Amino acid sequence: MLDENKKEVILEISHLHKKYDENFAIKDLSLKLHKREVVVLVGSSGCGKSTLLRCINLLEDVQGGEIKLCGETISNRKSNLSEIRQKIGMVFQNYELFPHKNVLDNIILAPIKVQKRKKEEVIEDAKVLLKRVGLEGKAYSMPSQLSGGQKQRVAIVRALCMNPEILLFDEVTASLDPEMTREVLEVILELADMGKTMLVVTHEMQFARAVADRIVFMDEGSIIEATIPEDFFESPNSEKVKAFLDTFTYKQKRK
Amino acid sequence: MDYEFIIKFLPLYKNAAILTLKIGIIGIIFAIIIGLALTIITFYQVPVLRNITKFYIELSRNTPLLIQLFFIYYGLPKVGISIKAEMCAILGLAFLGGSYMAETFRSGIEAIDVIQKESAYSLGFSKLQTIIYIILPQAIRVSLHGIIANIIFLLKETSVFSAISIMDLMFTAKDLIGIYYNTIEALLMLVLFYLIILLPISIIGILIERKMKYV
Repeated sequence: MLDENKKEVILEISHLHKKYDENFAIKDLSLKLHKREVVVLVGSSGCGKSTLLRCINLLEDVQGGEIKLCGETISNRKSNLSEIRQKIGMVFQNYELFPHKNVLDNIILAPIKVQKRKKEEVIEDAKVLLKRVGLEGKAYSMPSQLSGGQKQRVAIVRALCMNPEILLFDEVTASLDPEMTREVLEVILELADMGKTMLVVTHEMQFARAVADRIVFMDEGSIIEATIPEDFFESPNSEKVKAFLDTFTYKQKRK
Repeated sequence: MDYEFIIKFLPLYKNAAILTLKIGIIGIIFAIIIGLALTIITFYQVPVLRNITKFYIELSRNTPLLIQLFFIYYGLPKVGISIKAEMCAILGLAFLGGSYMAETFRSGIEAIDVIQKESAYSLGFSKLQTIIYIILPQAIRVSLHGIIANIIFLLKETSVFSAISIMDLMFTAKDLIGIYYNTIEALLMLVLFYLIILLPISIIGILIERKMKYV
């Protein structure tokens, strides 16, 4: 599907509403992602970033508006969920590897069982991807033997191996220490260079600046500002964005 | 030590052990079936049945097996149902074991985080595939220790069956002591035969658990 600028649209969210009981988690939210575009979602905790990813991935019903993936309406679908989810790769904050399967099996299980691809072919793909993230020696390790950063890289490979149209990252470095954060973010930067379409939720502002084509700031379930990284960090329009960015800097205390 | 006595009555103990094992195994199989059924009822929160399940679990876990057996053995004939003593024993064991198994299975499933399920859905797995490939293998690993502990516990509980005249190990030992006064030999053989039955189960349990660790 092409838009008015002749660019291919992967994800189109229009006037989305999501309520938990009577409270809005997402309120009249519209967002468009083009092919090869990287959008970073920022905002304080509880502003609806993660909920938005869960809605896109059909883990939540929505109460209004719609979500389109490659031109097809997917929100509130009750059938063929699997077909849609195969096009969406999701990486969670706490990795969510399957603890009873080794690294390779974690990666190849879904391509084999869900996409019905040939095992040899999938294994070959998986090994190429593992090498790319620097884990070629860990194919037969169990998740419990890996560090947090390694687990998260495996989770990224697991999502990639399904060849999704879009990748969703939900605060994937929030439970990692700085060194591990770096190794995971470098993988995501590399994916951006490869031209993957990605929607990234993060609290790492430096990383956001480096990876994003556009930064979207959310507050109370709505988009407050959506702009290129330079403008977002150098000259934000809204007071809320200024206040948010201020939380990342500290004034030196003098005696 | 009267070795002649031991050799003479060895076959008697062997038969009793076989009977104990037979009743135990059948009872435990029923207990596992009851346990699974109750787990599904609790998991899907089936109305009415859910309340009955809860009542049954509390009743079964908080009364001694001996009392449960007496109710079945002496009570059922009073309301016109007469069944053989062996059947009573199996019923009693299943009644007691069902609740223990149900609680063990439940804890296994509850130990698996919801997000594991969501992570599987995200990869495109169907509900059935998620249960088969992701949830059950993890839940069984978690509850394995409890299941084996339950099996050993239930086999030991069979020793109260002598109270309803079943010729199990306990009954045999008590009988021999009553007739011959060879207390030490009779009790020694009783202990030995229980160990012969239970030790292999413990060892197999440990081996399976070790094999199932995530390393």
